[in-house]
Amino acid sequence: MAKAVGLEIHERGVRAVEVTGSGKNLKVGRYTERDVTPRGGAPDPEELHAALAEIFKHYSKHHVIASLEASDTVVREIPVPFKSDDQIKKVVKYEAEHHLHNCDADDVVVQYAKVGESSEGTNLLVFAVRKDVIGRRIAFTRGAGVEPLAMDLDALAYFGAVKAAGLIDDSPTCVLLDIGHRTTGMVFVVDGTVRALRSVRLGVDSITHGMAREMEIDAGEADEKVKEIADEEGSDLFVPLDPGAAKPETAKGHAELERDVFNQKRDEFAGRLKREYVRSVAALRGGASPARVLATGPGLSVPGLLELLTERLGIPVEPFRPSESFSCKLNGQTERFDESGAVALGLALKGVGHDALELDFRQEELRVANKFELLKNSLAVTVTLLFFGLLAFSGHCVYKMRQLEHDRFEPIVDSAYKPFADVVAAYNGLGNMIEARHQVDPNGVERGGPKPEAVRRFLQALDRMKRNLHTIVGDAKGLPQITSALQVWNDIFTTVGKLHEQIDFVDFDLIEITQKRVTLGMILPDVEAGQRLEEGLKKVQFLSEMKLDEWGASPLSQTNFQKITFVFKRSDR
Amino acid sequence: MTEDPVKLYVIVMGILLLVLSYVAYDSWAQASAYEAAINRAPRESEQMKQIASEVKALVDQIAKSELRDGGEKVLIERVEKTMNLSRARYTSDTVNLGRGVKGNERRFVYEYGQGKGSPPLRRGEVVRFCEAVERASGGIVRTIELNLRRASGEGEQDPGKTEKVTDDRYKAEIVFGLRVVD
Repeated sequence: MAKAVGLEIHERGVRAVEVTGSGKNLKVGRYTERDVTPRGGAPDPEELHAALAEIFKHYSKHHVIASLEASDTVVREIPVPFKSDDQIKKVVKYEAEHHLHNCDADDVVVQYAKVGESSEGTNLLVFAVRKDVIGRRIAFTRGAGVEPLAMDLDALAYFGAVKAAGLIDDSPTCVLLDIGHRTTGMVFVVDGTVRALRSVRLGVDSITHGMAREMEIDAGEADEKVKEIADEEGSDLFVPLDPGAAKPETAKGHAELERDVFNQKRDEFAGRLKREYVRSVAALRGGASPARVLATGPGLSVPGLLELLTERLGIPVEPFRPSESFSCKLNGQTERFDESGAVALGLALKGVGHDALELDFRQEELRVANKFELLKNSLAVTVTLLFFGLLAFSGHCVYKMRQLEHDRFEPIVDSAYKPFADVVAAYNGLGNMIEARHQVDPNGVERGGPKPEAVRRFLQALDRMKRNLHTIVGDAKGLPQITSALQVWNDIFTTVGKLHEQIDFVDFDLIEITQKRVTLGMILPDVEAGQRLEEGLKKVQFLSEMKLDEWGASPLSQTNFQKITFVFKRSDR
Repeated sequence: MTEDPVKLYVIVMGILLLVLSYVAYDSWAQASAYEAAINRAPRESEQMKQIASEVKALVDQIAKSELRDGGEKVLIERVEKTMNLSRARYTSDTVNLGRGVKGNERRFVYEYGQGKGSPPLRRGEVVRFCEAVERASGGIVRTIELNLRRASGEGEQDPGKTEKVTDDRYKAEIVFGLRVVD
């Protein structure tokens, strides 16, 4: 089951949320926040680092999505003359450079979201974050042994959480407020998509710092005063802006004066936030009118702030409570999670596949080196599917193989083996005629190799036996055959016998028959008889394949007879 | 060892996948081999019948020959003794058949009619001798060469007579043999 940790690092500490599951079956398993007391306006980096290390003693470090602050981001809406993502990706960085002041395109990571299309191209909402800012954030998390797989803006992570909760579907045009200690993020959503993002340097610290100045106490004490006021009943604390209802200053106690200061500073905060809000809404193209405002962050703990904002902005300002939309098992942390966990939740949701805008600020040289971490969940699913697929295929193959072997192939081998063994027995029965190395073991032939080749091995063994036997009988393939000299002699005598009527007397003085040459020395009555005999001899098959190389006649002494010699020779090719 | 259970799972499943791939491939290959063997079985069965009958014929030919009782030389000399022939000389050699042929010719050379103990042979005796050797060997040992020269003073013909020669005798050199693969 997919599991991811969302890590929000903000100006006062760190927050982490662990989410498991996928699709609609999501579960928030853990929420932790560690605040670090600011000294001189900013938290001590070592304390912040210790807080992060403390959190990751209990969380998995392997699938962490970390936040970047929207206050460190330059956001611009720019037109580009393209519609396809491929083309936009190629040019967006350099198109954005014209809108980024004092900033080189190579020094920033640029991401974008489409906010509208026209016939001339696409309007983009471009987010640019300096690489050194991202690098510092990565180095900070690495210090605790955490390598974020992706990074996103806190305000956009908040949007992701609200969208995953289904609230954007309910109110497609709305505003998301993340009221932090020192900044407030405003995400303007029109028709379900992010149309504008602003980060205003105005947070709840302005209330406590204002009280501190007014009451001449330090910021820590002012913070305590706000908490004390918050501990009292919330509805009583909200004082309507009705001058007639106010008591004279001289008639008020110390606590009432403190509350007055608080109310005054809260009003100032609400007033300034309203101005920023109105300016931003006015700048939205198309005159979109938000239906409601969903708020999150430490601002939710300021008594009466949401009611005051509702009154000032003229639309409902409601808290976003993630625990109402997601299954949570947080062991008493639910209230804190509902107040401040939305950003970390959005980041964790991104890690389990609910990535609303699909932005990642770990790009270029800041990209995650270990791709496996990014792919491992889908890889795990893939190998599991492959495993079971292959298991089924293997089972099918094994079953088919066994079936073929037992039902069809073995009967074939059995029927071939019997006649083969009989032939081998007869062959081996020749005893000494067969050299030991040429003897055949029928069982060895059957079993000596892959089983499907058994019949083929019978054939090969029979062929070897045949060749060996041919060698024994002297007519091995490739050897020139011997013509029996006896057969040649018989043929010559048969021919001579046929000519007996024409030739009165024939006697042989010399008979020499080899495979290449035949010499016949004959005593004949006259030369003409020799010529007749020559014609007859040329018809003898063995001699007909030869050439008459010599023909000689010499008279026999003291007689009329002739000694005639025929030499037939095989012409060498 | 990795602490990440997903990573560990992927590694283990990867190894199992490799093993399973081998098993699947092996089974598939064997099933294919059996299918191919079954398909060619009728053709191989016909070939087996044909070669088996050829082997049987050759086995019968050799079994019927008298070569089994000692080889070529013993067979020739047994025939020679039966026919009461006295040879003057016996030699044997093996001749390479020449370039391009991987075989030899085993030759057994018998000479007659040279000296008192070895009278010249009649033509009929030579023919019967050769026929007997070839028959006894089942056609395996053959007469490679015949070399007959009339023996001087033996049965010379009176040229005045015209009847067929009946008392001819020859000095004979008979080469029996066979050719074998190297």
